[in-house]
Amino acid sequence: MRTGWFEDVKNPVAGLAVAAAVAVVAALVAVFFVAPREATLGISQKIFYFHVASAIHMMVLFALCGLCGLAYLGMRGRPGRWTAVVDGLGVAAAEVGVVLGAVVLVTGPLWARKAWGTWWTWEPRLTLSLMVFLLFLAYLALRAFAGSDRFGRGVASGLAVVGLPALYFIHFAVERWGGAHPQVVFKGGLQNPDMQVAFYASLLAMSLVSATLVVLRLRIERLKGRLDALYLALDRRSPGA
Amino acid sequence: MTGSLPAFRIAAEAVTRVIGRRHILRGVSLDAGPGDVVALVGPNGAGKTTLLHVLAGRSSHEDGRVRLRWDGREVTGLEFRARVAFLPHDLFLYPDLTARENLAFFATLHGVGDATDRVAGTLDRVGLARDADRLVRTLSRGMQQRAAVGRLLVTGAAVWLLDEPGTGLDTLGRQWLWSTLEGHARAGGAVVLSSHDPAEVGRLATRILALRSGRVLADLAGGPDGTRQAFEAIENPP
Amino acid sequence: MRTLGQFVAVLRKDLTIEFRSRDILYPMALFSFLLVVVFSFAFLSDPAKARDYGPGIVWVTVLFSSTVGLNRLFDRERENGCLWALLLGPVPAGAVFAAKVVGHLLFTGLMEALTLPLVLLFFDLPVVDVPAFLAAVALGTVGVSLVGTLFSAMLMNARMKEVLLPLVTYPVLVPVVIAGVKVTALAVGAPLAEEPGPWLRFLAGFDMVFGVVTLLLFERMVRT
Repeated sequence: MRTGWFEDVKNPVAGLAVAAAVAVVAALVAVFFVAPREATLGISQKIFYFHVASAIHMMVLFALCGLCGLAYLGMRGRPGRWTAVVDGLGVAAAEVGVVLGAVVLVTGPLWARKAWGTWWTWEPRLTLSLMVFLLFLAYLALRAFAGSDRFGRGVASGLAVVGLPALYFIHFAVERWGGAHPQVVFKGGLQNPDMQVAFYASLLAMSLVSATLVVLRLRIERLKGRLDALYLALDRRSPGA
Repeated sequence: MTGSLPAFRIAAEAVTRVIGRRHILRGVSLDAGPGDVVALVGPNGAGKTTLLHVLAGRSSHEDGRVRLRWDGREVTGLEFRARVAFLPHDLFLYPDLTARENLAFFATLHGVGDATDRVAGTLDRVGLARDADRLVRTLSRGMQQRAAVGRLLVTGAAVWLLDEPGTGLDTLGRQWLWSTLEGHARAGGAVVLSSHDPAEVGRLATRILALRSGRVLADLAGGPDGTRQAFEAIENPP
Repeated sequence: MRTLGQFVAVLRKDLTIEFRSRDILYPMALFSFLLVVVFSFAFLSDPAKARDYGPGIVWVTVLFSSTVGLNRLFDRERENGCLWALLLGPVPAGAVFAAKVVGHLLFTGLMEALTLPLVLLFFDLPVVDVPAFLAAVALGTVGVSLVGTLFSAMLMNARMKEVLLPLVTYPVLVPVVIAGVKVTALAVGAPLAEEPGPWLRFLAGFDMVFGVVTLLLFERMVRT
């Protein structure tokens, strides 16, 4: 019998979720009370901590999604435990990646408005984030509309794999294309040790949040698989229509 | 069919096909070798077409396997696809090419020699010599069916998989089809076809598989008795 | 040798059908022509700025029209399940893919030969560096064909494929557009402190990498 919410803490996912919540609060404290106010940008600079942490994790998830696609195609989508794991992890990474992408694309312009006086600039990193976001959306659209059978999954995996070299070329192109883009403010910046504390706290918090979401999403996929298996077992026993 | 064929056997072993949460095939096994004509009978939705698609490699399957032993060894990939030819319901012919161009194209893909003569000879055999240079789009369904059988002939494949090949053919056409399939089996080829027609099954089949809901209800020898039992089995399931 | 013969057979078959029906080239050429006309009305309020818009319009035209061509190229294979006839034959999937890419390149190239001069004419763009311009169009089109063919083949039977295809391919093709626009701008004498050379090498690199990646992936995706 469950005796209370803390019973759930024994559950590894719940533990992860609690750790993530604590880390987010700690990171917020660090951002607002430990890190000093930046001299020229003032309070708006604080958006940077979660913005960059989200962007980094979005990229990590993009790579993860691509690797899952590669593994899925490597196994030729043969039914089996690992295929299901790899496939589910790919979707989970893409869906969480879209959420992080949304965070990046909302906080980015907020920052840009204060720092550069404009909502949107085609600054290379912002552009790159937008492209990753679009590739994630395309991947999810394929999953939704190209069918959830092996063929549809194969196509989506193919896109995830193509996305890896594509991202390299996109990165290269937007870097060169930008020409006289505003200098990326934090290249080698963050000299202040308190700011570094806040930044690493945010990074850790976003790691835990992303991991929790991915694990939860993977769990949904697993439950779906089990539900399908139950229906199939039922269907196997029935004489059929 | 040119020359004599070595010993071969195509087999589906306990093939299971799942779409969504439903079984389309539930552990179906089947095999065919030289001289065999295997007929798949069963009501609509029994899994006949899916089984043919799985055998041809057009459909994936979740469990079981499809294998082809050829001259004492297992063949897969390109060689499998060279030996096995499939005539599905959607014909696999380019509507904007003529019958002759279609056959020549597939002959080239299969790398069979002296294509021009071979194609002309095949067009003769399928009774399309006079209409060979009409676009497939303008041919009647029966003539298209003949051209599609011509595709099987011209590729020189040993295993023919046909999904209701009698569709759209008139009485004369059916007679022609039956003698063509019999000829292929006699020359050492194998035929697997799905059919709703007791006359067709009775005449051709050396073995009959009665399917229902993705399961084999009965696995019978060909001939009048087998045919009658097979059609009874699918109409009155146990 | 055999594979080469099969590649030629598939390509010749596509050209024969196209010669007969012209159902790729006509829609593609008409569509691109209309695009250019509409762009002219949309952007030519200030003729002095034509040079700024022109290079972009060249590449938007290439991208949009090639998408029309891709949809048509595979509609043909969808009828009567023909793509499956190819894939179930003893043909390496790579040969089918290569033939489709080359076919699409030929049709797109023809369309470009008709339309791009019009863009240059309507927008009064004097091409000073002809080799760079032609190289950019050629290399860029190869990239578009490679990525586009891979996904339009895969999406042939998908619902909403007309929407999905651009959704999937355009983000991947952004580098091609960026590089293409840059070189085109340089070729029509835009005052930029750059050389076309690095961008052309970039396009060539894109083509090479995606040539290998798409070829390998097509086989895998088809047989999955």
